[in-house]
Amino acid sequence: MSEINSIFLEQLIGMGFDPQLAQNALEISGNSDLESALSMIEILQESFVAQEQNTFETQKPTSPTKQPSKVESDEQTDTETSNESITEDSISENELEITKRSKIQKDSDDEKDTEDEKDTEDESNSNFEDNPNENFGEIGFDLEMSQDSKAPVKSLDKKTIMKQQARKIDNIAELFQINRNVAGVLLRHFRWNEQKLQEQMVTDKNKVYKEAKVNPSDVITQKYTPLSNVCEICYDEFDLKDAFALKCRHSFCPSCWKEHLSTKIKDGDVSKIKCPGFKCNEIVDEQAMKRFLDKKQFQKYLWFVAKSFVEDNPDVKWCPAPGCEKAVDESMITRGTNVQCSCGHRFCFKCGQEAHSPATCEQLVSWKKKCKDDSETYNWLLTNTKPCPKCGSVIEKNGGCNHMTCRKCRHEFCWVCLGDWNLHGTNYYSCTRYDPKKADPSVDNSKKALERYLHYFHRFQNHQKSLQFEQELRKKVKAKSDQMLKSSTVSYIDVEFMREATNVVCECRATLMFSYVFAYYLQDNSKGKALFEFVQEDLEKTTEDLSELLERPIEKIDKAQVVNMTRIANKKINGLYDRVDSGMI
Amino acid sequence: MANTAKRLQKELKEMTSDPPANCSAGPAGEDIYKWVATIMGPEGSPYQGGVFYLDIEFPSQYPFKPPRITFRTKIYHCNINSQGQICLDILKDNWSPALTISKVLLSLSSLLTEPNPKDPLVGSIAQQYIRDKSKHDRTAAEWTQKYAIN
Repeated sequence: MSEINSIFLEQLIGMGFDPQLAQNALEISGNSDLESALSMIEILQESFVAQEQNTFETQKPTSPTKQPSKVESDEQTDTETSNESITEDSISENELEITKRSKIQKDSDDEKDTEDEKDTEDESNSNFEDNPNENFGEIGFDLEMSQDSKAPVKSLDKKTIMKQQARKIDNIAELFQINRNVAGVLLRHFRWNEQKLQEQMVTDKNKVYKEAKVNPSDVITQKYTPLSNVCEICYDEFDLKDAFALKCRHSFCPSCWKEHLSTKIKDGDVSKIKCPGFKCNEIVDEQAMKRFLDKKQFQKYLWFVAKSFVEDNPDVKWCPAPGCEKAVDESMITRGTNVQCSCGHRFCFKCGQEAHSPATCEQLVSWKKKCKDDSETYNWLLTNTKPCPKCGSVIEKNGGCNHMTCRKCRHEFCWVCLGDWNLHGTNYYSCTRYDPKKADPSVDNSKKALERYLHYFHRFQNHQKSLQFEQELRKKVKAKSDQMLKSSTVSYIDVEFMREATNVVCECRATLMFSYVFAYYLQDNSKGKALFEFVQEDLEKTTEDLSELLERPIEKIDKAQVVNMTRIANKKINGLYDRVDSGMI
Repeated sequence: MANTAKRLQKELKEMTSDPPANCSAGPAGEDIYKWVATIMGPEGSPYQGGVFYLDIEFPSQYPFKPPRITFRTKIYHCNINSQGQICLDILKDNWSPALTISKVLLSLSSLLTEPNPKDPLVGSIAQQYIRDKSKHDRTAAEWTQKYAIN
């Protein structure tokens, strides 16, 4: 034992901690300072309390299967190393919880009576009736979940998006007494930033109109007739009686109007559909769209406009799941940057990739690059695409010109240096910021580096594979529980715990997966890393335990055990994120 | 589809009856969607005396989508690269269905007279055009002599 160690140890013992615990904590946290040792003690205590609770709750209900699970063996070793004060602590905490829960149980007894009866029928092997813990576990779990897991926020569906958008247009139209088309164009020009638009309108109305290229006097009710009866597109003559023209009075026959508009719709280029006339800036309004497009296309147009509402709005993001047309907003972020759409898809709010917290977006990109160095697709992406320097959308260069305009955010940039195009006005192609040496990732050939990478990669991949199995299981559980619900011998609550458990185990897996990415980018031998690896290992253990419980045939699953384990797992994920967020790691 | 062919026929007719100055265009073979065109190097420009061949490909949505035009003859120009690709706004975002090949060829002809170094495709040429126009014109004339005459 080094000198520093003994000083800290004495201090810790002086604080009233058990010597064994203090020593363990110091060893794990690297003997470096008191602060990290203290936080390690906190972690150790939490994990003991959780495990003690588990022992407490899993041992009492006579498990129908009586399988000696891995959990129990772990606990034994843990209890051996643990100390008395902790055990006492955890027991007293357990007692506290019991009293708390008994109260809750009493309160909710009336409602639960019928369900409890069903429970007993279902699991007649066990003596749940006599064991109040069974219900405790469940209620305690529910309470826990409502705190830990986010309130069920709903993703924005097509209807909500369109409504929100219409409301913004109406607001502006009413506020400045302009027609809805003009309001729509202005809002789109300001990327749906209502506040900014209002401010600028108050400062200088005419400047805003000029910038957005609209005329506030545009009134839809006014009818214009084309200047000529020969279509400028197909050169055919047409009947002026039902002909349509915008304020510019350029002449096009109805069928060419229709074709022009539907081509634009097919391309998805709806931000500003203009008159087909050469260099004509007259904007086609919604009324004209309605007139020339069929119902399906018009719906598509409205949807595209609504889409621009989401795409231009930095607080709202599309769910990237294939086929999902919902959007999520910032308030739905759960852990780190992770967000879950109502469709079930988990992704990162910032980069749209799979949910990868605790690893950062940059770490994910760099990790993927590392993992897929020889993948065909990746090479193709690398050579043919670049991310928009402003919004990060992947852009494919489909023409020779290096003057790129991002389809999504309209940012203009130079393909060579990815710099703002405006800066090229005088610099042209000197592109001083581009340095090919810098762009080439330094190739680290050392065997050690490779081994280090493989260590993390194998674990990452292992959890990825497990996650796939777990997702299969989730589907199975859903099917099974739906079936059970239909047979109506059980209530929703009786099957819900399984869904919750599979959900949590999936989240554990995903978190663990990316925790290896996160760890890969942590500096070796730092005290933060030691802390992180401990929390990670702890979560891993719980995840494996829960996963093992769920592997059993569905009929043999011990509800109390699963519910409890789910709660512990959930707590441990939170613990991991808390430590990452607190900047301790 | 049928409309595209009809419109192309009309354009072809106009092209033959009233061709724009210094330009010509017509289908390369049987396919009405694939044309070839020539532009004579405008007088007073370093391209003077050269004949520049172009390939034109019409998409099936023409004229609602722009034609794809490339230079087949090598040319020293800051808006046209070594593959013959052209950086011209009206062939991209500013395309209008009211434009015709005749008008596009005229625009290209004026692009030869007046390059647009502010929106360059070949940066080095654009830079030279601004800094040392006489040297630029000399090289352009040499290229014209080498690739576009005979």
